[in-house]
Amino acid sequence: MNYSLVLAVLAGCAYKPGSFAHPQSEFPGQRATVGCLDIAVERRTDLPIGPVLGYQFANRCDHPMTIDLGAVAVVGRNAQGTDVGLRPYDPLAELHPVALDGRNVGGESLAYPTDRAITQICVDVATLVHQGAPQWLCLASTTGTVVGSVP
Amino acid sequence: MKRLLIAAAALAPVVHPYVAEASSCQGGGSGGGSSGGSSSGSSNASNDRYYHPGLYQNPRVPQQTACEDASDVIGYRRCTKFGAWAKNLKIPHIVIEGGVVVRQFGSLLDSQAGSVIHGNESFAYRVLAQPQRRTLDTAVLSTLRAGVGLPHGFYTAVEVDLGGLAQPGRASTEMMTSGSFGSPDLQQQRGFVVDSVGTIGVHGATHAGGLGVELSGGLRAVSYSFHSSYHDCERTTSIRAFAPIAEARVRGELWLSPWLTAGVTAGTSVIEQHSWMGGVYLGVHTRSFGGDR
Repeated sequence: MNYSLVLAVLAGCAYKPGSFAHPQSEFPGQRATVGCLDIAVERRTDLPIGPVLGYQFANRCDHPMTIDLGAVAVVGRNAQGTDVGLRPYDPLAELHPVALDGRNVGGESLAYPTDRAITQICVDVATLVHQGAPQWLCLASTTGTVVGSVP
Repeated sequence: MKRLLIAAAALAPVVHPYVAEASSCQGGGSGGGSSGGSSSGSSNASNDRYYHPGLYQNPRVPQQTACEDASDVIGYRRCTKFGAWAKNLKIPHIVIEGGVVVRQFGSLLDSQAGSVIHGNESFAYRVLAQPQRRTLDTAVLSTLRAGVGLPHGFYTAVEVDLGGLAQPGRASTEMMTSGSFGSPDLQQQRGFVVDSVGTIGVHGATHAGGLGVELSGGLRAVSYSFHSSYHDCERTTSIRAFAPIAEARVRGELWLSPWLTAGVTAGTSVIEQHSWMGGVYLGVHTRSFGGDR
């Protein structure tokens, strides 16, 4: 085993603030910075129950940062222009605030059940960390949009 | 009674699934001394193990299947729990360190006795240290240490140091027995050292690194080697000795990355004069900056 290679990996796997780049993760979609977090949100191909958002986040700071994915404010807009508040699909009640270590990265994908077609979905990423003024990112539907019914 | 026999016959392959193996191997083993040749990868059915189908229904035999998710969306995946990226914060802060230390300590050779065998003759000898002053051994060791962070800046660690005697303290040998051709000629060589140490300490953090003060205690095992020459017969013999370790140490380290430190350490024995250690190490941490920032 080449020890210099191990050291290089250990030294290089720390997230560099503002880079939106990491050897183990990609940061697709729209990007924002809230407090200690660099966040990328991507609208992925919808599931039958509704739209899916991929969250990728990185801690810019040296200390842990709590991320509350279950509390993120998400609003969907249908073809008629009506806004609908969306809650994440969490049948096993897994979502809870989790601390992300300093200079570390993480990611999750959440589905948002709805009974109508959502053409645009907006996310207030500031609510991810309960910090600062609202910071909305809006994402249009992808080509693979399929909308079904609430399970 | 008949029902019992039927039940026993039905259960036998499940309880002893390898029963059929013994009988099926008997025929293949009839070659006597040629069994080595018959095991050369042949697909002969008589060499194949037979497992009763009931074995696969036995709940005690786990089915090895890798967990694979078709989706990574919460609620659709089963293999990876939510928040797997935060696992390192759910366990205590663990540090794994590796490095090199130099130690000097009092030789454990004085008054030790040993024996060396040449052919069918055994010779006893004893070792005498220099009488003028205490002799010291110098050892260079690789060190591997695992530590766990405790509340309020305390930590504990276990450490194993393994290395060689770079400069053993000089000692003379005295043969206590002789043989047909006199006595062997013993020449002192090097040896090896194993230190096993437990440590408790407290550390303070700065932005760039940290400082620690600690107490260590454990056991040292030293093997001193001697080369023995006796009438065209060359042998190596050794004397093993053990001693307690009790040290006070200081250490300082710098962060090379959020999970990697480089440090130096130095210490002195609290039970033995002129015994000291110094070393350098690299440490890998499970928490960013040790959780100190």
